[in-house]
Amino acid sequence: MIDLVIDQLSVTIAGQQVCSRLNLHAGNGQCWGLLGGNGVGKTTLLRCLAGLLTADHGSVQIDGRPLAGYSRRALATLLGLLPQDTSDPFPATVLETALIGRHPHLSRWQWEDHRDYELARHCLKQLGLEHLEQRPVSSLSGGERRRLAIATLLTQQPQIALLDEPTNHLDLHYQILIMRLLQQYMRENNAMLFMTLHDVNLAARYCSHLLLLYGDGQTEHGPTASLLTPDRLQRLYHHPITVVDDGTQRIYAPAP
Amino acid sequence: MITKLRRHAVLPVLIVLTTLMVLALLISMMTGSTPIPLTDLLYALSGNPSNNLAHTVMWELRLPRALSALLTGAMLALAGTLMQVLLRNPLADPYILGISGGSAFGTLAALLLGLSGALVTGSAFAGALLSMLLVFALAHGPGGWTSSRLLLTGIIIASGWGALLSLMLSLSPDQQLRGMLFWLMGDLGQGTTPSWWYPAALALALAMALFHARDLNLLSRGEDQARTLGVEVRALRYRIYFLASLLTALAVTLAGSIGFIGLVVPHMLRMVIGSDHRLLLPAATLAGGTLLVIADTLARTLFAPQQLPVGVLTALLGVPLFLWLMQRESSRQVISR
Repeated sequence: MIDLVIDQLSVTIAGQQVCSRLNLHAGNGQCWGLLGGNGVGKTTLLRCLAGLLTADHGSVQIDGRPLAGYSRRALATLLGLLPQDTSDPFPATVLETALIGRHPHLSRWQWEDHRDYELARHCLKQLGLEHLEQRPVSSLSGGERRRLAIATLLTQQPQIALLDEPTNHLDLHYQILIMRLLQQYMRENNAMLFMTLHDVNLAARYCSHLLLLYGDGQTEHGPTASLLTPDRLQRLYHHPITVVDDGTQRIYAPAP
Repeated sequence: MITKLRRHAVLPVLIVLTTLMVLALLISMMTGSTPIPLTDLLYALSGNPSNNLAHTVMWELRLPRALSALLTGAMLALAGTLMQVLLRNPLADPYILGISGGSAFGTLAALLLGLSGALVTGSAFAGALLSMLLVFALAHGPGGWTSSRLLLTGIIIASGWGALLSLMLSLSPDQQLRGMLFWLMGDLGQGTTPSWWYPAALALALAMALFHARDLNLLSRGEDQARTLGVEVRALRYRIYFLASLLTALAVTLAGSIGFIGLVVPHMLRMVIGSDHRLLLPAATLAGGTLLVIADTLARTLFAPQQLPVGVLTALLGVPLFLWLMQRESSRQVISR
């Protein structure tokens, strides 16, 4: 079991208040969607949860201990981050890239063994990349690179996965596949997910909880069903939203 | 599927490179104005002075020079590999942050003052350290280091040294100019045996770098990625910076600024054996040393008795080799697409 507590957290970036005295408690099996317009600080908040940024006030705690109390290495066995963009200035193959997820699980002089390779291959396969494992990363398309980054995160096997726009660069098929895959990962590993998303409909369908960032330091959070109202979404995106309900699903669309 | 684990690739590569290194050393000691046949060479190496001339030439001239070349090349290639990861830039070389400029300034100043021997070496090392600390202090922004800020600071400091060097050269008396220019181009002709602490420092540096080899793999992917996968990035970058800088400073005091080894060797090896630093670091150390031994042998034999500065040779060898590899690499990628 693992729990994550955000305690009186205030974060600003470049003069912009991201959140103010935010209190939030997240547990296993919860998938949190971070929604908000461009530049409200979704990535900043995610980096704060990963311990990459220090907050102005308050703290983030895992199992009762603040992030600053963990070594990076200890933290990396619990928590992983999918960055918004990855870059590889040096040549590396797809399999090598997935294998870096094993780093926190290996001791200083230890090499990856067969189990690590099997896990990395399994994760590549889940993302439809198994036939590319010897390809240089520089030869991949944007969508393939995105899937590889997700495979690397799954190879890391974190209990808390922080994902910055996981569906970036992906076509419809892979958007759904990856959201399902992440749900499956969460169930099988009793994990917890935090993801920033731009697609309200994906959030509505797959996130159990939402954290709305309004951009002025105001936030709201709670179970998805209670928060997805047209007026909240309008306040969030500064654009009127219509809800289309065809009896099987509700679609949130920008009003014409 | 039978997995070929990556660690199984390490030993064969290192054995091949070590063999090449030994061959290069042997050939280097056999060739020159007085050729020494292999049998005489082995006798002389075993300390048996059966052929007095071979013994003298080898112990007093060729071995010290070959060892200097080996150590210098190894240190430059290792420093270059580290610098490229630190700056996340495959075009970085050991001199990019101004270390060689600082040490060249130290050397030329010492030569102008009429100093010689250990004082020149000491002055070169002091110049390198000064440059290293200057860049280290100036590159700190409000949020600590970033690769680009470090790179820019280093390049600016390097151009500052460049201007000072030109100034000194233009003010120097004619009879000193030739020696100074040779030093600036990289020269192994001084013929002093490197003292024991050069190889000791190299071994220590390689061990420290290997200790962080997997961390370096992660750092090359980006700072956030490295941190969330368990690397204490700030401490690691400081360590690499000082390690690479000290290696460069030592190399420069041995042989002046020899270009290209520190840039080309790691880059070429990355194309051939990949970017895993557990293999790349020792491989670059071996290959850098080997390449400089070969280049120096050519430098002193091609136009004998005229000796060329070895830095010119490394560039002449390195440029076509590099272009060929790059060509090969890009055509391979087009095919696999």
